[in-house]
Amino acid sequence: MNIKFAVAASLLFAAAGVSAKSENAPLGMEVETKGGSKIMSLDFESAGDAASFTFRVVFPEGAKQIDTSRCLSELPKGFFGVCKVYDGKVVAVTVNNSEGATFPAGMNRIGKLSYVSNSKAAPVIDTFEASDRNGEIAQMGSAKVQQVD
Amino acid sequence: MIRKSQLFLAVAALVGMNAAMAACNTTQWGQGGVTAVVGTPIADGPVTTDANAAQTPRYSGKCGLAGDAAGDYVQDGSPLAEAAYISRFYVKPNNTGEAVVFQAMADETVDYAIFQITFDATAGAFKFYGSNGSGGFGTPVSITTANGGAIVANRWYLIETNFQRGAGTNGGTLAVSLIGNRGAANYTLTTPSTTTLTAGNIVLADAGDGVDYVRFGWVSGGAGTGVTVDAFESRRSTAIGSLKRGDVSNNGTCTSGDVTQLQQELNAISANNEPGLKLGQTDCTENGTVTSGDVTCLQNLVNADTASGGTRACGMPI
Repeated sequence: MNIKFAVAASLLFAAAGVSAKSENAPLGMEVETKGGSKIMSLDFESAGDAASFTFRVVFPEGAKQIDTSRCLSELPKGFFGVCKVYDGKVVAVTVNNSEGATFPAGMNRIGKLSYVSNSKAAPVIDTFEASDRNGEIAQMGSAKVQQVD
Repeated sequence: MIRKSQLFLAVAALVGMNAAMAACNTTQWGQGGVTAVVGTPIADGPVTTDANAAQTPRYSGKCGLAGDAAGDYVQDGSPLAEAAYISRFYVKPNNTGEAVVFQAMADETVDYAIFQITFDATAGAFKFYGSNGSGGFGTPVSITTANGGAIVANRWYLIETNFQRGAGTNGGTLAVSLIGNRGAANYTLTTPSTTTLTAGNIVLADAGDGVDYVRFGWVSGGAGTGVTVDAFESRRSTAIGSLKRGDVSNNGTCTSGDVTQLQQELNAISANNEPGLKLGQTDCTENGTVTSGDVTCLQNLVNADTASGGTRACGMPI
């Protein structure tokens, strides 16, 4: 292995990582456990200007036993919100800070959702918005849900 | 009898106590040659640092108008014998007995109310009376429920009325819709309660009589703590409709940003900071106070919007 090349490549990668700007976006990661039960972690990538956000998670057809009890369990200190199941199909989340502070730039953990489904399809975050500390709409990136085997 | 100095505009938006005023006032009242303020109603907001130390609830903007005794009200004389008169306002009655909160008056040798609206605390009802043509009233119609629950005192209610005089006759009709006190759990679109004073239930003294001026506030009757009113608007045609509950920023939509702004208003109220009050509708529960419960209410409301696909329409059903 060319050590010099490897070091240079890793430095380049690190530099690229530093220069990449975070965008406001909800992110999900789904892990399947036993018996078709699935856990989806919820994160919010912040550009540093988002004081509040809301988004919708749409589950695959036939999803059941949607559990929101840990939906907001990992929010940063000072943040609170409402996470509810609507019509047995979707979960909507709205979060803000009691002092109007913004989410730290970078990845912020929100919590977890669990549900049961035999579908191979992942949930979709199809509706979302974030606002800044003045209540104005903040610029948004792309929501994503990844599946981990 | 009054003398008119201004014509009633075809679309007159009289938003009493609802503008971004640094200090609450009643300067928008008294058009058309009527006395603006009768008695001693207080134009005020929910902090103690403005002109009045008392804290007055409001539905929209920074100020409401509170009467602490019968005979505390404002008047608008910009109508001119209107044969068609539509009005919309918010009222938070905290009276006992039966208090008159709105009168639409005819300007005659002896003025009389074409119709009037009361809150009857004993009956738990808003009552709508039509003139009997000889200085009194006929049998009223009532609304006793809003959003499926009983009407109670000390909560905000929207009342919109549509008066129409029959052509060439001394008869009229009044269509009424009412909504309010929706609470934290009732965040989707709700159907207003309605009633009507039908032909024969409003009798004018003369066929040419119409709405010349209105009285608004704690006009008369009843006892108790007070009557608070806000967000009056009137016009000749086209329904006015409700203000968007939870639209804290007053931009026509409800987003997570309104939740942030509502939280800021809570902090402003705690700090008695009048400039920090918001210009929209912060009392999401419509219970007369702005608290953390309103934040939860608004989060529920925004959630419902989000669940319906992000209409941001302040309470659309999913």
